[in-house]
Amino acid sequence: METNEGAVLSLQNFRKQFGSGCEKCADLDERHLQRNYCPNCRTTYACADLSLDLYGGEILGVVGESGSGKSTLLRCLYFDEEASSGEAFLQGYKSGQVNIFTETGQQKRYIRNYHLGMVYQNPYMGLRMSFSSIGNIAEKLIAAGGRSVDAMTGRAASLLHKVDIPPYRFLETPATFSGGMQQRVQIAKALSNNPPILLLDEITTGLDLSVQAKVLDLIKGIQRELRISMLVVSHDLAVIRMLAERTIVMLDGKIVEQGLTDQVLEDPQHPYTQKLVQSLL
Amino acid sequence: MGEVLKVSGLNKHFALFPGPKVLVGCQDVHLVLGRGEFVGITGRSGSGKSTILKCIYRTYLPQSGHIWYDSARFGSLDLAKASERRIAHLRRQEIGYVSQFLSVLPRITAREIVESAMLDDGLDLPQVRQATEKLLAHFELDCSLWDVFPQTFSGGEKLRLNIARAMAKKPRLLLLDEPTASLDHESKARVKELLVKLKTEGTSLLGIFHDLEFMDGVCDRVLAMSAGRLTAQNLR
Ligand SMILES: Nc1ncnc2c1ncn2[C@@H]1O[C@H](COP(=O)(O)OP(=O)(O)OP(=O)(O)O)[C@@H](O)[C@H]1O
Ligand SMILES: Nc1ncnc2c1ncn2[C@@H]1O[C@H](COP(=O)(O)OP(=O)(O)O)[C@@H](O)[C@H]1O
Ligand SMILES: [Mg+2]
Ligand SMILES: [Mg+2]
Ligand SMILES: [Zn+2]
Repeated sequence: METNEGAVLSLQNFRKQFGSGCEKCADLDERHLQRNYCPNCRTTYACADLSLDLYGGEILGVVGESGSGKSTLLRCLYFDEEASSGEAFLQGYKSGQVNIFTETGQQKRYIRNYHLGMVYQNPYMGLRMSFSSIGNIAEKLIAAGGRSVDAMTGRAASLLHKVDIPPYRFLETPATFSGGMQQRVQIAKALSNNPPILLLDEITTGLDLSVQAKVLDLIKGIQRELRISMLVVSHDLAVIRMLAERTIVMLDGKIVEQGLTDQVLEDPQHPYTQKLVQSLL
Repeated sequence: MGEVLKVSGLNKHFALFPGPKVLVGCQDVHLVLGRGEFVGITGRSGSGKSTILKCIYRTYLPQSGHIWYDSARFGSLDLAKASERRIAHLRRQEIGYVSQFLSVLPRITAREIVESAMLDDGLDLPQVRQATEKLLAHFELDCSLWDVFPQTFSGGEKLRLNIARAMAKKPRLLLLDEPTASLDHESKARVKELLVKLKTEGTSLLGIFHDLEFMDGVCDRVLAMSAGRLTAQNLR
């Protein structure tokens, strides 16, 4: 297999399980599973054979209730965890001909440093709180092959400027920043290696409304200017409505519905999505 | 005159969650929109007018029927069945939708709204800057408003911005869902002029209006709807 035409990321039958599985649950037979869990062998199928395409310049929304597998999906794509099975192809990596899940650790680090950016829900996952803001970005630039200190400092400063961090705070550690500022430093860091694909996990959760608006505005602006493709995970349907052109809906590790965002929200086809939309809009 | 749009046997109903109750959106709708034509739809609230427009824009997925659209890029295709990718492309390049409400990101200015519509078209930034200012001026949006967040705009200003955004793309097909509701006489007249101008520039229009007088000067034909069905093919 290889990437579908125009897809910058193509994921096929991706599975992530916690536990060894048994003969009863190995083929995900629903009769033996309680939602995403096999009581017989105590295996959780966090992502149960997902397939999706992310296209150039698009924002693809991912919604679903807590535990549906959204963060697991992003963590496996970013190699924070190892996929159990399935394939993923990046258009920009070996012409989309190679399954990145089975590449070597060294290749995976390369892909992470050159092809992907990640913004975690929890800034403590994405930032080193003991480094300065500039230092955080420099770290990623060094990983991506940066050598010249002046060039890296300049790039870091321009990114921090882009996300509205005032220059007099560049040398401070993000530990002293507000939640919204920390998210913006994470976004600057994720952008620093010019990745074609950005993975964003619940980046506005826990921020107050006006700060949320600022972060959303930044994301939209980045997409408009840089045409980066993004996978945006959020509980918040309003966030998805604002950002995503297409949306997938996850339940118990599976995709139950996908479509144009306004269609998914205004004319949901799956009973689960209907419930989600009614209770949250 | 060729057809831009040909809707046949369109059915859309909604299964309300939870439970067995089904609401009729529209039933067995047939309509044709010629190239460069402006067709109006009128009818009581709940009669299914918006449902038709939303099926065409694919905000709703019809249960059955065909929506043949003559695309500049893809040729003739059935919007009821086309892939999401194609619909997304058409929304960026060919088909505009203006609703009564302007839904915008909280912190995006009027200028940026129109600019981003044009950037989708692949124009470069200096071109876009210039074209945007021309369009905003043309819509008589005061230049003091250009760099302001439109949340605070009046209804008429929002609407004019909304149409400006749709026009920025010079759509092949423009769908209008009661764009003149809640506008004063003066603003209506301005919108009317602009729609006529769009039409003369080649856009085909399908619009929902309550105001027969408004439609009188601009629509080539007016269709009437009642209880989910088109009941009259030409009121004029
Ligand atoms: N390291 C792990 N060990 C065992 N189970 C795990 C592990 N990580 C995740 N899971 C399980 O996998 C499932 C998916 O978890 P995940 O964190 O992806 O959910 P999510 O959709 O991101 O939820 P939320 O919206 O609450 O962030 C859950 O049932 C979770 O308990
Ligand atoms: N998304 C929806 N979900 C459920 N019912 C809907 C939805 N959209 C429209 N309807 C129903 O379909 C019928 C036609 O509505 P609509 O097309 O909006 O009418 P109009 O635009 O003519 O006022 C109404 O009974 C309305 O409640
Ligand atoms: Mg999560
Ligand atoms: Mg309506
Ligand atoms: Zn098992």
